[in-house]
Amino acid sequence: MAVSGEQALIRKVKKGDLDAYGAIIQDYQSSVFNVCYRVLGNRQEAEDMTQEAFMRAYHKISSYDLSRPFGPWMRTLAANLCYNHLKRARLNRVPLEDERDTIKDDPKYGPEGILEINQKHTAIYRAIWKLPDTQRMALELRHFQGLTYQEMAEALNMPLNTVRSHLYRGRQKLAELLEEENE
Amino acid sequence: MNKDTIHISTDKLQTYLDQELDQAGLQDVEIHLGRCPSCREELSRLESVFARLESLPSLELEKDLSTSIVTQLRNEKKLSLGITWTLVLESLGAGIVIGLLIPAFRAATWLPQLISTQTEIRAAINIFLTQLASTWLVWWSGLKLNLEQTAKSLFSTTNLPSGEFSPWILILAAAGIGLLANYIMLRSNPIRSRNHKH
Repeated sequence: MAVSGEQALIRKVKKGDLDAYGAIIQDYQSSVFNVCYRVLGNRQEAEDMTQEAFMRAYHKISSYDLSRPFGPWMRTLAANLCYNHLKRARLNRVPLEDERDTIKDDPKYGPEGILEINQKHTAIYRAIWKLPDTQRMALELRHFQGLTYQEMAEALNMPLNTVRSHLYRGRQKLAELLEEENE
Repeated sequence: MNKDTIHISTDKLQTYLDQELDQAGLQDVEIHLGRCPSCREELSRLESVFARLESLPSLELEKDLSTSIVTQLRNEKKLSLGITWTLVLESLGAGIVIGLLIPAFRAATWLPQLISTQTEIRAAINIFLTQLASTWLVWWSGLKLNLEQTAKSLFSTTNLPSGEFSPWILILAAAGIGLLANYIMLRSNPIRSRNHKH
């Protein structure tokens, strides 16, 4: 969607137009779902949190600055929501690894190629989900949302050095896990 | 120790890959990488982690969530409106009850006198009701007077009306406080549908 068209829609949402919000949701639901899936590691939970994230975003839309792009704001909100959900649900949550194929039918690769690619993707997801929540969250914000260190510190409400440390440790751990997987 | 044998820390290499080094730091790292195979190897290890993260495709969402979210928000809006009006009416009701009870208590102060003078029960009730009605009338007049004076004070610099508060002011104040409390409550804690399982 063109940015000006999106801004016009968000202006309407700010005035309480739910049909306009429906159009915004359709544009962003997939990317928000992917954020939730990477952080939570479970498809059903990720769908639930995607819904919750859009509900929250609607209630906070008055604080959204129209001069900034909506996507990063929405996805950071969703990532934070999932992170807080993990912290709250830590004791009674059973992490479920949902390992569906990331690629289905694609004539480019052939059945064996598809199998191989799916195995590689599954290995990366497994490794990500084995990381501690804060490290996984730091990777999400940096690699998938493209936030700077400063923006990450603000999003997570943590000191800059702490965030940096989580990010570095997360990458190191991820490298080790992926190397173990390859052996 | 030779400068070339001091390797760049992995943390610094990550900062380099994140493009968060200042100009001087960036130059140092690049010069060192140009002559240190060991650090280049570590850099390549980190780059492969970056590449593998980037290789993850976007997963498909199997159903459209927009209709269900918009429906939930519409229901929430209706519910909020319903709660708002319920609280407004409750506040007004409470205010009216308070406004009516205060004159009733005042009129009731006549009862001991009536009993002590051994007035007939029927006559006593009549006197009590007359007192009650006249108290309400007096307060109604007081309300009108207060409102008139308040309205006047808005357009002049004369003193605001002083003296007793009319019960009708109490009614309005109770309703106002109810409205304000309701507004604050709904803003700070929006009603959300909790239909998902956590």
